[in-house]
Formats: sequence, C-alpha cells, structure tokens
Amino acid sequence: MNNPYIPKPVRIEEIITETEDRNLKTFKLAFLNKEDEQAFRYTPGQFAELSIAGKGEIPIGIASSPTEKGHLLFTVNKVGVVTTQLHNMSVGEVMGVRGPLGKPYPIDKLEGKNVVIVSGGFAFTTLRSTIAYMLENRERFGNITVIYGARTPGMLLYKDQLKEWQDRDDIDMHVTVDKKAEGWTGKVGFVPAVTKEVAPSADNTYVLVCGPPIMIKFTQPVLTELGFTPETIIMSLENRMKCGIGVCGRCNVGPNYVCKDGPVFTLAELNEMPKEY
Amino acid sequence: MKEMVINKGDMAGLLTELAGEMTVIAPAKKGDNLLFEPISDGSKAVLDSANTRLSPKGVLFPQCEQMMTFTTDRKQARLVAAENAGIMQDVKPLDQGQVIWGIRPCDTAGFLILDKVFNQGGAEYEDAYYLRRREKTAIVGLGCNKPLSTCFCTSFDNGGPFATNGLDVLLTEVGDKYVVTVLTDKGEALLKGKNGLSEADSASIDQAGQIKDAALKLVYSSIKADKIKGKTTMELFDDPCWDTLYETCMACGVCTYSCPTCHCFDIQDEMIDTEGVRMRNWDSCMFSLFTAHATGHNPRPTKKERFKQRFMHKFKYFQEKFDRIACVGCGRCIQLCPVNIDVRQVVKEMNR
Repeated sequence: MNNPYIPKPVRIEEIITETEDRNLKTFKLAFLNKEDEQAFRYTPGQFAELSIAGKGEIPIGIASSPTEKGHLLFTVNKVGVVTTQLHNMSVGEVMGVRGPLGKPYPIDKLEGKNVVIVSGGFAFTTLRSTIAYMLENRERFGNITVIYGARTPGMLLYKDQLKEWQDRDDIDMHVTVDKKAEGWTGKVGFVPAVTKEVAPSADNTYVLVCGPPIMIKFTQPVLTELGFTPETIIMSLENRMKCGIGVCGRCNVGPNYVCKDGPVFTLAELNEMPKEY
Repeated sequence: MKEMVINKGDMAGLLTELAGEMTVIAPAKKGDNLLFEPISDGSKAVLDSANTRLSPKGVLFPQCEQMMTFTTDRKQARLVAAENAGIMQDVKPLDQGQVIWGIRPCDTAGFLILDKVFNQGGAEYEDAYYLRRREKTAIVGLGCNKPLSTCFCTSFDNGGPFATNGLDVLLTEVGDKYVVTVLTDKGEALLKGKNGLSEADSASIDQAGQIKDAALKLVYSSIKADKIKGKTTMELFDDPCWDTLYETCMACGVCTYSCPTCHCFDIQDEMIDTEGVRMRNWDSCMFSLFTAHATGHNPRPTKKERFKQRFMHKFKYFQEKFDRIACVGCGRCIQLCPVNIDVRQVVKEMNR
C-alpha cells in the first residue's frame, strides 16, 4: 500500500537569501530519485510538506513552476522550530518533500482570460510559480498585470526575476515599496493604493490576491469598485497543518480543509465560510 | 447468515483458542477501568459489563504510534556521516491478524465513520497506518441488552443496540449462552471449526429476537438533528446558542479522548542521539495550541471557538463532507464530562 506520509528524499542544491533582514531564504531542492521527481507533478498554487528529520514538517507553497524542470523552489520565512532548522542547513544536506498537496490555482479557468496578480510581502511565492508558468505558456493567457509590494526594496523577493519580467513587454509589472528609499526609482505606496492607480479592467479578468491580511482587507474594496465579482477574486489561505491530506483535523475552515479543499478559494467561497484563518 | 450458539462457560476457551492464532482484543480490566486490551487468556474478557471506559478506536488508530524511523547526521550540532541520513523509513505493518471481540454496535459505527476519514479516495489520501490495520482486523460485536440512560444509539443514522453494520459476527446474550450470528465470510473463517460452537436452536433464536426488541425500547434518548442539514454553515456558526453553551467547558479534552469518532492527531519527531522516530499522537481541538500558527496568530483563539468547532465538525461539517453525522450515541462524553456538558443538549440547541 502507498503511504502518503513518507517524504521523498531531496538534496539542498542552493540556498538564496532573499531579503535584507535575512529572514527569508529560497531553497532549491532536487530529488535523490528520478522516479520521485517524475511522480511529483504539480500545478502553481499547490504546496508541499517539507520534512526535516528530528524536527518535523512544515507546509510551504511551491515557488517554482512546473515548467522549471529538475528542481523545486521553496521560499521559507524563519519563524518556528522547523523553519529555523531549515535556515541553519547547508547545501548538500538531505531532507524530505511530501506532496504536491492541495488544490492549485484554477489555471484552466484563467486560460484565455486576462490575469491580474496582487501580492504583498512573502506571500508572493506561489504567485511567482504562476507568473513563471504563464510566461512559459504565454499564448494561452490574455494580459498579465502584476502588482507586488514590500515594505522596502530590500524586502522584495526574487529581485533578479522581477527585473527580468519588468524588461519584458508581454507582462505589465508594478513593483512598489511602502516608503521612499534611497536608490529606489520604482513606485512608492501601499498595494491597495497602487491597485487603485493601476486600475486593471475587470472585464474578462481573474485576479489572484495573496498577501498579509491587512493588505487583503484594503485591497478587496478596491477590486470590488473596479468591478471584480467574488467569483473572479481568487485567494489562498494558510492555517496550521500536520497531515496535509484532510485527516488530522486542525486546518479546517468550516467544512473545508485548507490542505485538501484549499488552499486556493474564490472570494465567493470564502464568503460562505467562517473567518477561522 | 448463519446462527450458532455457545454456552457462556465455553467462551473463555474459544477466546484462548483464537488467541493462539491471532491477537484477540476484548474488554478487560486494567486497573479500575474496563478497556479494550489484547488478551491471551480468554477468561480475562469481560462481556457482561456496560461499555468500556474508552472507545476501542485505539486498536486501529493508537493513541501513540510510530510512523517512520530515521537516522540523522547531526550529533550534538556536529555533522557526522551516516548512511541514509535524513531519509524516512516506513515502519513494518502488523504481520498478524487480529480480532476485536465484544465491541458494542455504537463503537463499530465509530469505525465506519473513521473508515470514511482515513480513506478519502485516491492513493494520495489513503491513510496507510489505519488501513493496513483495518484489513487485518475482524470485528465481533456484542449486542446491548441493557442500554444506559446516556445511550442514544438509535439517533442520527445509527442502528441501535443490535445494529450489525460493520460487524463480521454479532453475539447476543441469551440467558446462559450467546447466540452467535455470522454475518460475513471473514466471520465465517474466523469461527470455522472452533470448539464450543453448535448450531442454534430455534428457541434461542426467538429469544434473541425478543431481547433485541426489548433493548430498542430501552434507548429512550432520541435526538433529532434533522434541521441541521438545511441550515447553512454560517447560520449555525453565527447562532447565539454558542454564546452560552461553551461557558462551563474546562477544555479538558476528555470528550475527544474517549470519543469513538474523534480522530484529530499530531505528528512529532522524537530522537535519542542520532536515531529518531516520527510519531503520530492523538490531539484535540479543545486545546489552544492545536490551531496556533508559529507566528502566534490563532484562528480559533478562545474556548468558545474551540467548543463550537467540536460540535460543528461532528454535526454539520462532517455531514456536508460525508453525508452522515459523526456521532454514534455511545454517551461516553456525557458520562465523563466533569462539568456535565451533554451533547444531546447541544444538538437540541443546534437543531432549533
């Protein structure tokens, strides 16, 4: 019998310190066994349990795109026991990955539509995956607009990639920081305000929103004003998890398990659910 | 369906014989408590008492169990070379069959509910630990001649004190013998050629039928939950009844601990030097750390939300997901609650 709890062994290939506070690192992981790599078929928006022997597991969104072969990327904030251990690990060490888990962004629904991405801080990870995937399959999507903000320029994730995307003419990038900063020539302002200023059309468009609760709270009315309906606003939740497969009972929001029925929900779905997240 | 009888005096011998072939798990005294325990001596089985203190869910879903073992290469913060360092190895599943003997129909219904949780379809959702034990386990039920005042096993979708759902064999106590009803091939194989069993006489079968009818009348608590399904999640969630119902709760967790359908668990790594095990332990939605994020944020911050979660899960969320209520009416939580919270009262409020 298959045992979904057993993590597949991976080796840390590269560790990138993303932010100036050194609290966010991206881990590039490669499977030790070819068959595990082939079996790990994912779609942007899904997550995996990262396992460190002796410390435990953590659910982390997959930041790489399935179009990027040969490795997985996970951007991890140092906050608890497992993430702290992970931040102390070195290239070459072996750990585990269990997944892919959860319901992805509805890529099939996004096809043929314009896509707006609104994100803040380190919630950008699975959206990085989504953007990379869409750019690799560019002809399948309409206009792509990205609004991404961080407190300071040094707190932005994936800085090289952002530059690369800003240089392309098939994606409309709006990268912003909360306050003026030395050397920063881009936008200044909070994500909701920038969203209002950019004012993407809601016509034939889906918007993916992922960020801190405060950002979401103030962005939602802006999107509504722009004409986005609850069915076209797509969000991603996080809750404490253990099993990742809808059994252990702690991540549920109403009848839905964030791990199995989510983490991706439309605002229409969230409106029918208690605010236990 | 095959009916046999066995004299009470021959039961211990039968169980001892069975214990030579497989693990026999039956109600037995452990200290002051009656619990489902593995027995090798059939005379240790207690079949004439009320239900066990804890449900037998631990037979298939143990309170603590090893999930996998591993070695790490971190020894006192130094890296040392170790083969397979950091790679998880699955534990060995049961190699011997087992039988749960003398389980009450309510607890059997508990397993039918756990079956739904631990096997949600598709290999990626099959809980190997539970299911590997499940397929090696035969279930022999014991009907309840005298249900207690806390029993409500005829409510919801449960079949009452002689329900046969999920059983391989049903025992009915009739005077100085048991009528043994074989319900499945597994049950047939289990009892084939065992000493002490003989074909049932029609008088015993008739008597068993009368006992069953009489027992049904003794379950006088009947709880209606018919209106819950028609209410939306948010209607029930925002119902003012929660503002007071939770107040006496001490969040001790005994209801979840003793419940045959509560299945929340935690996964923890334990280590001695460089050798480790990943463990699965029962957990409880009554505890504040259960949902606490590493950031300190807690989506169910107070006792009220946690109390509500337990009942909403059993009577609303579970019904939405699996089309049945996750309560079997065993009454343990009513008996054991230190502040007399009665699930029947809570459901009555939810069903208004």
